[in-house]
Amino acid sequence: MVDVDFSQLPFSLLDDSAREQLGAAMEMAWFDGAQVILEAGKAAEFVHLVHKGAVLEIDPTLPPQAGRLGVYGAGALFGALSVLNGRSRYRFVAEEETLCYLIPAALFKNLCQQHGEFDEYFRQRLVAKNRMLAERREGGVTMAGFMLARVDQCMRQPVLLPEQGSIREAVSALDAHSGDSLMVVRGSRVGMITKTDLLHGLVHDGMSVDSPALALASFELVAVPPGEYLFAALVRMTRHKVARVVVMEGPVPVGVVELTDVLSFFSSRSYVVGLEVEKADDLQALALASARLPELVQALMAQGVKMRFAMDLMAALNGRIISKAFQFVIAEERRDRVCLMVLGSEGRGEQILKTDQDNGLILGDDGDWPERDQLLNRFTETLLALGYPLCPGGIMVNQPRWVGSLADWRRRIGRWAEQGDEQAMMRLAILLDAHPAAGRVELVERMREALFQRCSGDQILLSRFARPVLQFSTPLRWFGALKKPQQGIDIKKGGLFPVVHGVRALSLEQRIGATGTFARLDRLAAAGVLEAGFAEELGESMALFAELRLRQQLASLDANQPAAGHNQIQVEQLSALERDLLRESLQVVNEFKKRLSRRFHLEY
Amino acid sequence: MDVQLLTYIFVGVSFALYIGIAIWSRARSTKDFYVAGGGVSPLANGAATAADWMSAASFISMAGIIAYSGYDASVYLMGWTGGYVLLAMLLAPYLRKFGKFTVPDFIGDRYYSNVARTVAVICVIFVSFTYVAGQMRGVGIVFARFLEVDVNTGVVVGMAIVFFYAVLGGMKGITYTQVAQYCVLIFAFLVPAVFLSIMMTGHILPQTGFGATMLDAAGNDTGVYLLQRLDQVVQDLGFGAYTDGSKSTIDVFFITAALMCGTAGLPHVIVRFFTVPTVRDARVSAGWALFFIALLYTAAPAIGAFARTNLIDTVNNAEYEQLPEWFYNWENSGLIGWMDKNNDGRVQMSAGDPFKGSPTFAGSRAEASGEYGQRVVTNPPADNASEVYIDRDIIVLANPEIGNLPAWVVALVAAGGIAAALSTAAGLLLVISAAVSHDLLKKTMMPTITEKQELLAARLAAVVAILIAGYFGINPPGFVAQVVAFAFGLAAASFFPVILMGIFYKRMNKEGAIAGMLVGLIFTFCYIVYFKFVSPDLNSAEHWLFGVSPEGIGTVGMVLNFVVALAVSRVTAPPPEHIQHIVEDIRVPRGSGAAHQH
Repeated sequence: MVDVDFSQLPFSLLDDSAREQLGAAMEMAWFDGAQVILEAGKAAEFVHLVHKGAVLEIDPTLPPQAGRLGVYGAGALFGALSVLNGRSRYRFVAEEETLCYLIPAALFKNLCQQHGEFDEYFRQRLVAKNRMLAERREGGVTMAGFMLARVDQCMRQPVLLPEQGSIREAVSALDAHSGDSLMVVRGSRVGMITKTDLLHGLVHDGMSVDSPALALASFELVAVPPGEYLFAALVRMTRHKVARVVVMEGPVPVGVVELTDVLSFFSSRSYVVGLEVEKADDLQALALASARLPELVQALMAQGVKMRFAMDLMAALNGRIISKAFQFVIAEERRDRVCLMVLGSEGRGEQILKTDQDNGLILGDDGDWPERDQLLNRFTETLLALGYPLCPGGIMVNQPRWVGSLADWRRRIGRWAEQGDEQAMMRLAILLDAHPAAGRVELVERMREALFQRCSGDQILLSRFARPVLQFSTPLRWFGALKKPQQGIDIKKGGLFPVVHGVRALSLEQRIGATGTFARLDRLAAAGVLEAGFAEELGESMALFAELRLRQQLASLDANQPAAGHNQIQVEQLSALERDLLRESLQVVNEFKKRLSRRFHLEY
Repeated sequence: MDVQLLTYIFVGVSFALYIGIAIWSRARSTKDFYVAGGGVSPLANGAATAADWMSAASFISMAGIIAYSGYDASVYLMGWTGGYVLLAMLLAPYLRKFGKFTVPDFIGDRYYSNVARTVAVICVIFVSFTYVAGQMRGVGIVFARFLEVDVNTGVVVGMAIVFFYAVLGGMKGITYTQVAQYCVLIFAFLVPAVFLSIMMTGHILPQTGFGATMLDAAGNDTGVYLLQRLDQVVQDLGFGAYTDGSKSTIDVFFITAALMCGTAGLPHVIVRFFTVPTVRDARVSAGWALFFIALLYTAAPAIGAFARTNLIDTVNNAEYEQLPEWFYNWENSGLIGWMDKNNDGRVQMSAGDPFKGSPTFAGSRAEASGEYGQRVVTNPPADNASEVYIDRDIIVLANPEIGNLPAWVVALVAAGGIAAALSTAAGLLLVISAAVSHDLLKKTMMPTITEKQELLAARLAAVVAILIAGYFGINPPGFVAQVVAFAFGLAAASFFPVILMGIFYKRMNKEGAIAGMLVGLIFTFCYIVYFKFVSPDLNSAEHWLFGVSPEGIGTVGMVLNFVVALAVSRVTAPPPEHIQHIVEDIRVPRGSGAAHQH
């Protein structure tokens, strides 16, 4: 008789007598690290329930890296499908010293026959698994694989042109290497010439084929180091609206990554969304592309992409959509005199699904703009049409309160700081997260500078600013166990908000201009305000909370419910491993709260 | 139900109330992230401030001091309330505008000097320690009486409770817990006062009863004023008249000024002015706090007079064996000691101490009892007729019993005393731990420690503070009173002038501030040490400088501080431009109208 928590899925689908039967029949087994528990092609005698340790599922027909199909941690079941199929398709190996409960195959089959729901549970898992594996086979490189790929795995050798090389030589070199771009080094600087540049030179500027190609080179390059994630390179391309990045190792160009190469790495149609956003030249096309963002999120999540990368990608895409919308509404000469900023979570780049539009506008000069209100109203309407709901708090450019010159913003900041109540503090917090989306980018930095000047040295203001981190209790019991309320744990109040806001308060104190929580954590660690280890723990906790919440929200999207506001996590539905992680992360939050309340004098 | 059971219930219920409020206010996760106007009202903040302000010293000791010293004790009433007004009106609004949370931070930044900061930190720690020690003694006495244990054991129990409450429980920071504590303590203070006032003078308000004529046992007006009668009774026993002071006017003035200026810098009260959103709210809540404080402070003289009258009526010349129960109970706690000098079995009161210091006993009552069942006092007797030692600190607690009030009133007073001690002690412990870990270690001595180490240092500082305070609570013989004088005098002489000039005089520089603080500090320190510790026998008016007692010398030190600081700042370079700018800035309203562009 062993002691297993039968209140968890799938055992909760059994009745008491079946559980008793199961409990009586179960045994324990110990496996050393690297020991094969179940070989591919062999009949499975037991269903395994991992008690401690971890087990790898491996497809032995594939190369070692690609063959890793999954990991089973404490609380996870494996081998059930093998029992139902008669034999195992894959090999199961203990990754470390592992302790398992064994359920005899005969008993398991019996239970499946007797309990429809129990049986159904495993059938569905079988279907889901097959689907996942099929996707994997078709896709060549999976999205997860893609996310982990480095730039140097995908880059081309640079085609180098001598400094005096002519256009003719350039074209031959491109042909010889079947490339799209070549590099030219001039002194210490590296320039790039693309096929398009060559065409422009020949056709528009009427250059002869023997004139030096150097004149066509562009020296403003977007560069990445070879160790960078391929994914990050893609994000940079999207941000800078370019189709290739140069890989630089120090001052030396070592390769080029072309957008088309990246895309060939990766054939899921989800990414096409990103391209569609880039291509859209009218509102309708943009709206269509925008509507497909959730699909991309789904795909990213299904492949287990790291939260931080997923957030970056979505922030970049959302930013592009908003910036394009701004382009469509506001004429170019006006655009260059103002700065559109996205605020709050959008400014931090931490919303994955679209939420309310939070934005503001900084006017670069006091020039006359008679049609201002009308245009800004139209911009707000446009974003609404693109699927960004109106902000119920009215933090939008169609509200005069969120539009103004730098001097206006300075006055507002002074007034809010003086006012000191919760609403004013919230406004300062939203403003601190401002990120430029379109127009004259440096205006945002100057506004933020004004914010720092007024607030960063004022301990009393900082204390009031930071106070809301203690507003909600952490959903942990006295001795550190998870609370399990009926309606679920509110992960935003209990986890996300204290981390985001606490990091925000520290950033205000330290005059850190970065807006994302992860980037702020990096800067805080670098400045020695937080120990590096603790900053990392906070970042991981934050990622976990965001992921749990996103899963919940995607589930409600699937059920055709609005995604926003679904912050309740049902602890019972988490796996044992996830529950452990959640508990530890919440303890990190508690520790963080303690530090904040000392630092900002919140005990009084 | 007996007193003890009721006390358990009252103390238990009041604790349940505080904890319940804490849990409720932490767990209201239905509330949304930011709610406009959802802050604490100035009224509630005023009550919370009053709870922070009124310590066990105010609740337990002050009325006792008044009962024994009469008119002389008025310096405490004036000094402490005056200090509050000074703080609320003169300092807090400007410190708030300066944007610094603590006094050392203000001084360190205003005078761009870590030396100045360190001197300020030491003063803050010293004043706070003294204050906490007073709280421990108070809590110890309450527990000693109601758990029926020795007062030392009571102090240890109190230490444990304060530690859990303040350090582990995280109960501070919740304004409504403080409001509840204020309600408990003010109710506990006023109910017996009202009862006694009605019984003795027919007035409902103790404040008016204090100045009224007395009733006899049948309830008829005797036409004799309470204070007249008290004067007469104490003079009959050989004391000076209750309403006469023994201190010279100049001494009263100086002591009051030292207490005022010393208290004005009390750090745990200053922070309460920072927890409301606007300066206006801070002022309104200061007004409420003053009202709430006045409720207790104006009732204290009445309680003192009622208690003294009843005490003498009940105890003097009574047969020991016929005394009421409370006398024996307090004797068990070691806070009453009777030495039957004339062997008549009766308790005689008269001027002078029956013996030197507090009583030491041969053993518990069971182990060593005298002829009439009293605990045997082993101190050498003093050469006078006085036979009974009654610790002043028990007056408020014993008052309901002496006046024969119902048992629940007695229990209520216990709950009130604990509330007063807890709220203040918790605030002070926070201040001490922050001052040590943040202002002293992180900002000056060890700037490289990590946040985690800082947190640990804060915890350790709180533990050490409780232990030291507990030690003073157990070994108080006159010592706390001396250290109190010491602490307030030093505070007044060192940082009060520096804060004041830091706010109002932009030409004041770090050389002036440091010189002023050092001169004030050293002068006051030496004067007090000389009279209190080196030559205590010379400690009388004819030897004092200008007739100022060591309790009041802080004021002289303060004047010296001002003079030296001004002189030195005149002959040294003015402070940097940006500092002068800030000083101008904090006295000018900032905000909505003026565009603020540097």
